[in-house]
Amino acid sequence: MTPAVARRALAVFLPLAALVAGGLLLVRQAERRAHGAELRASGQRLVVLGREIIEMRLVPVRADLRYLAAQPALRRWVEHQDPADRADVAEGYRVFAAHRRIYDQVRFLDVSGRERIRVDQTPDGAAVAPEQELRDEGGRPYVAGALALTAGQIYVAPFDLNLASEASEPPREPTVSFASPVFSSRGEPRGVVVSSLLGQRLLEQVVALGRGFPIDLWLVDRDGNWLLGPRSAAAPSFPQAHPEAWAVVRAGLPSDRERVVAEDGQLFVFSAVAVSAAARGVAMPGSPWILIAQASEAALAARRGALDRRLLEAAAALGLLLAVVSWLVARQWDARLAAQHATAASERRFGSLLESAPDAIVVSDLQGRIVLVNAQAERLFGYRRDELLDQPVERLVPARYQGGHVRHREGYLAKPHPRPLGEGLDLRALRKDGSEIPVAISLSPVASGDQTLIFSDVRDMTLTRQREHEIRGLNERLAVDNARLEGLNTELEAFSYSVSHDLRAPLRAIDGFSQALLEDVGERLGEEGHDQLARIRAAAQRMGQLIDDLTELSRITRAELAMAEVDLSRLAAEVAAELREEQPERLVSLAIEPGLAVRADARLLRVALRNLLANAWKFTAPLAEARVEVGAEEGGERRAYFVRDNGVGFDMQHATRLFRAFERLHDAREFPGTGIGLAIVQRVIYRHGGAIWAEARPGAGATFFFTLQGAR
Amino acid sequence: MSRPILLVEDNPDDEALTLRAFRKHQISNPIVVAHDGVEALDYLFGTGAHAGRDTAEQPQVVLLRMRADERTRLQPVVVLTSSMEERDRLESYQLGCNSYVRKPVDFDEFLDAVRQLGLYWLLMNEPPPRA
Repeated sequence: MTPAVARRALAVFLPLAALVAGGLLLVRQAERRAHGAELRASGQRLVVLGREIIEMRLVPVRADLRYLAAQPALRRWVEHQDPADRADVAEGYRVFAAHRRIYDQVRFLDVSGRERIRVDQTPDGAAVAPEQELRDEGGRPYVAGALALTAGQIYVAPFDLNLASEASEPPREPTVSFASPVFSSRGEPRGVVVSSLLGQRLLEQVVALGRGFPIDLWLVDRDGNWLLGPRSAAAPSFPQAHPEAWAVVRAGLPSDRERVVAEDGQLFVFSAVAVSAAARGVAMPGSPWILIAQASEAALAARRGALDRRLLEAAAALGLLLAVVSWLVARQWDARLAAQHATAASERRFGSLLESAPDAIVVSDLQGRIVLVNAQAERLFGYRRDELLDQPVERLVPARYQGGHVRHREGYLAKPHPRPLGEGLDLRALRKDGSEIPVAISLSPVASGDQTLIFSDVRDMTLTRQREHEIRGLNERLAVDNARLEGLNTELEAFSYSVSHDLRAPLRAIDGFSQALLEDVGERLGEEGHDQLARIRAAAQRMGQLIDDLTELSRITRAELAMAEVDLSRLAAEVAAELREEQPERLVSLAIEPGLAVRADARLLRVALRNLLANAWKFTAPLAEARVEVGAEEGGERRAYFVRDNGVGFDMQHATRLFRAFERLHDAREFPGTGIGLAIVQRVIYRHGGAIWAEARPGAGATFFFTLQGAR
Repeated sequence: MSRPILLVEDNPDDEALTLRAFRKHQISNPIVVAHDGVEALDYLFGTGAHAGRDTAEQPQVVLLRMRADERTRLQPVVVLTSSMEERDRLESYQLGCNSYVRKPVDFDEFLDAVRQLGLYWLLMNEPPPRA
């Protein structure tokens, strides 16, 4: 990890960590508050329920006391003081205590407060105390209290922690004594019946209520003595333990509504318990009881500790997570910065490429905003760079196309693909000065960093369109010219037809009637007349030949080519055979290179060969050993075929005249001909897209070369 | 009685030379000359109202009519022409001529051609039986 990454990680981590810590503190507070509220609700519920339970439980206690006071043996005993009766009473009380183990003691005291009968709960069961163990309890408040009552009334004594009783061994249990006066039949007070209730046993149900809650229940009297206390025994009285809370409790009495007190962060809920509830009309004067729910300090501390521990764990985990995240973010950040640097460097590098591109280049983002243009774009559209950047590309589109352009752009984004330049679209761009120019646009999506850019190459098509326009104009003119040429051709055809047909008829007449004249009146004409008529006939025949040749030339010009594979060697041999047959007197040695295969119109090629070979025959006539050769030479781009003779040849300075119609290089008397033959040959070769030329020297023969397009 | 020859010739010079050639070779068959298609059709079918003059002038029309009519359908027809156009030659054969002969400019050659035609069509060739 580089220091830069560490610094960035810390910069990310610290604020996040502070935020998390603050959040956790808030959670802690909220949790504590919720916990407190929960405790308070639990306490209130416990207090209400506990009060009801206690009030219910006191009902049988009152009934028990009345039962004890109403024993027939007791009534007899207080009337007659018969010791046997006393034993009966004692036995009855023992049996009672044996069955009702909620009482610590059941006693009968005389009016002086001396115990006369006492039954103790011992580990071995209920036992009647022997006479010598009976105590004087005259000082107890319940003696005077009960004696002040009328028959049937019950006095409830303050809670007694039994601290003064040496008889009872630890664990001491707090007790509450209930007392009721006993009268003789004459209504004189004889004593008091006292049942001492074991607080804990009475309140087992209440204790059970609190089980599972982090709550201690107290049941205390007006003086703060407790009947039910914290599970740790031997606790001091409630006022000693919680003086401030006690002050509040005392101030709030008497009330049967539960109330809440908080002291030192501790929580107390208390409620008065109606000990003297007038159930069945029996009054139970005495101090009121108070039921207090105290949130257990230890439990509270444990829960808060657990909460803090959980929060600490969460803080640790989150801290770790944050550290990792911070590190990852820092690293990503670092990589991004590096990429940006690289991109910037690459942009600098490719920026010059962009600038030197021949076309205008406009790069836009997916929202159609221009992010980059080059100098050519500035020139083409007439805007400065800063006027274009961050503007919608529609600024460069004529108003009437703008809506369509937006739709088109969105359609393109749905499926971006490279689109080549000038895809047959007639696109127009809008310049700053409002003029429009024809353009061709190629589009390609380009991934740049994390976004896709649209790379538009805009080419000014003004010149191209102009040229296209010119070409169209030229093509139209060409079409007109073609039509005119076709007309001319038709005319030429008609002309050629009439030449061959109509010019020949008068020639035939000239020749025919000249002959008729010779036959009919020949003897009158004389030798000179004969000669003149013969010249007339010869001229007419020569003109007929000229017409035939010209017609042939025209026919070759117009004929449709039927291209096929042609064996040139065989064709030449056939033509040569014809010539031999026509001029059997000629001895010509002939050499034809075999297997010259060409692609040509066989009929026209035969005409050409016929003329070339006939010429060779003609111009070798004076030679004793005439030699004619047909072959091919590889030369230049194409194969050149040739017809060579060893005849009279000609001067190369006249070579340009060779192929013109009617041109003749030799005396017509020595070498007869119309001068059209080579023109016909040239026409045939031209029609095959070939070329023809000659090489010759006077007296050393001539060679005619020709090529044929596509011939091989 | 030898069969007559119908000569359809619009050129009077050619007509005279042709008749001269027939004479020189002692072709004794009667010769009927028609100077255009209408006259020819008049002679062949004896009506004269077959068609408008403009179309009937064409020798091809005469041939077409002859081949369309039962009476002349098999009659031998020789085309003697100045034209060496393939087009004309093809058309004549398609219309049903029996022979196509080019008139040479040289009268001697022309005479020879007429002689051979007479020899062939009048002596050697057996005509189709009369219907």
